[in-house]
Amino acid sequence: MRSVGWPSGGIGQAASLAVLAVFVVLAAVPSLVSPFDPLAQDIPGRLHAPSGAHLFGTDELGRDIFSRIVHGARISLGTALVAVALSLAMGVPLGLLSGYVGGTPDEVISRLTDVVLALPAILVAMTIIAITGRNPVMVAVVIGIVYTPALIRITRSVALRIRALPYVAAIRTAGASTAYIMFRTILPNSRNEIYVQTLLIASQAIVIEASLSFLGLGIAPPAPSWGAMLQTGRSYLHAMPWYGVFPGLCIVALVLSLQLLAGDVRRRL
Amino acid sequence: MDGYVLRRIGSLVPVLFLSSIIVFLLIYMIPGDPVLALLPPDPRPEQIEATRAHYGFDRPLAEQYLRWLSRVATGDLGQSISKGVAVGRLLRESFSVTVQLASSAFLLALAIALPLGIAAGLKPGGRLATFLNFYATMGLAIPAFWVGILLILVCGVWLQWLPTSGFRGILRDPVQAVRFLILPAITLSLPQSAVLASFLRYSVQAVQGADYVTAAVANGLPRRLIVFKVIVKNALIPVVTVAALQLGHLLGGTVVVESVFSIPGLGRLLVDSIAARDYPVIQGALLLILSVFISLNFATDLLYSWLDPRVRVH
Repeated sequence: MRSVGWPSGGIGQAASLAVLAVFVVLAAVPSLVSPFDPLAQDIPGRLHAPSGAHLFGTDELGRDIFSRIVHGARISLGTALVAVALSLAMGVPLGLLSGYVGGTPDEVISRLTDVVLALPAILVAMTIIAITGRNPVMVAVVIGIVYTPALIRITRSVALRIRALPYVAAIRTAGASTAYIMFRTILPNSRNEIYVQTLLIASQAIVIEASLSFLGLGIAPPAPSWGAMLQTGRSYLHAMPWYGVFPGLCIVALVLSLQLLAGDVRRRL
Repeated sequence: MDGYVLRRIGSLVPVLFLSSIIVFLLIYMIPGDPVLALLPPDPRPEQIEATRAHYGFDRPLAEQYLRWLSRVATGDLGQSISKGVAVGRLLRESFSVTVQLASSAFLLALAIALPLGIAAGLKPGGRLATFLNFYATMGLAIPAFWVGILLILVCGVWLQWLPTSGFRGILRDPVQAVRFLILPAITLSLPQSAVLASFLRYSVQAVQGADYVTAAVANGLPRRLIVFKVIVKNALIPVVTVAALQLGHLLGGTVVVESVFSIPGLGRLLVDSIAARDYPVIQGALLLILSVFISLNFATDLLYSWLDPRVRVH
């Protein structure tokens, strides 16, 4: 996965961290700013324009769009968190094994990784969802599986590089076990590369969740997923253009700040 | 045909075999009786028995796979559950739509990426290079479906310049076809051109430092000749691979973009069939997409080995 850098430096980094912090707070305690229950319907008050009471107006069932967007942060970030944790848990050990031990495990792991990485992530995710059906946890798990190969590849390449360094030879001579070298010697020294990849995967996980929900294959209604909101908002562009704009702005803000942070870390490597 | 091509064709066989097995096993991996996955809801008992016999579900798995493969090889992909027509027909119709969309988006992406990438690469600190930084960051950060929605809002709803949903065949009505294709093609080409232009820029920068460029400059070749005959020509070689792989990834992009603009293409067909649990169509669509991918990868390898004969040695 690549991040194409926008030389941002101090201000970009501070802004990215601020945006990220805001969304994390919203995801943790949405009731802090959300004035309404995101699921509470009010059919007579449907499709209202933005007003003092309803900052972003109301949707087709009279639900407060602002509250739904605020609660959507939890779905978006929650999915990304589960997906990232899962791909770390699977990708890092497999990547270390592939890069440090080599041989047949490396052959098998690399071949499978190549196949999955050659396919567009959204298609792989859709195929797995076609088999498993969809529920919020499954969607996050599927995204985690889809991005595991990206982590395997980066961990493997770093492990390959570090394996050749003198200190690895030294500790092997001192009698350290393979597991010790993999997890206590190589892993700590691969931390930064893995961190960059983790940020990029988190940003992609947010996009894929939104895309799947937009297609009706992700988080099921009435849960306030930004992608699903955009799908409905698309049908009301004539009457309420803001409905199709605000959820998208949130996605872009989150994705952009994660990618800029990844770019910053990479430049400091 | 030489040894390299034969070797590459040989390596295709296991990939095709593996893909077909995965697609075949799809209906066995879903929970429940695979026969029910191939039938409309609440089938009659005699229907279940007929289907079971037709597909040979009572036979060993390996035999079922061979039967399935021979049916697929003759173009029999079964019947759609939700639409009641042959899967082959659905695939043919929707694939031609997706090919038109993807190829126009690809041409557009090239038209943006080639000049932008080359110009930015030739002048790394210049204004275009800065613009490319911005363009690439945005192109990768903004999800395609939201770009599509914004384009619909601005060009369709407010300015009323272009149609915002649907599709016209390019052969039947070329003018209308182009009008319907403009917004989806722009949406689809945005991330592609961002990746291509960035890659081309770094390739051009790398080639500029090569000895043969210094030699060409030292020999007093005119600047224009050096740029187009030496730098760009060599810089394009690695870009060909990326471009061809991007063409494959366009297929992933069409899934979302076709839904935004209500285009009856392959991606839309796949999304609808997954939602409707129409497994014969899902299997057919996946098989077609995987075949396209494998062929594209194969064609890329051949093209690359022709452009850069050094890779044949391995």
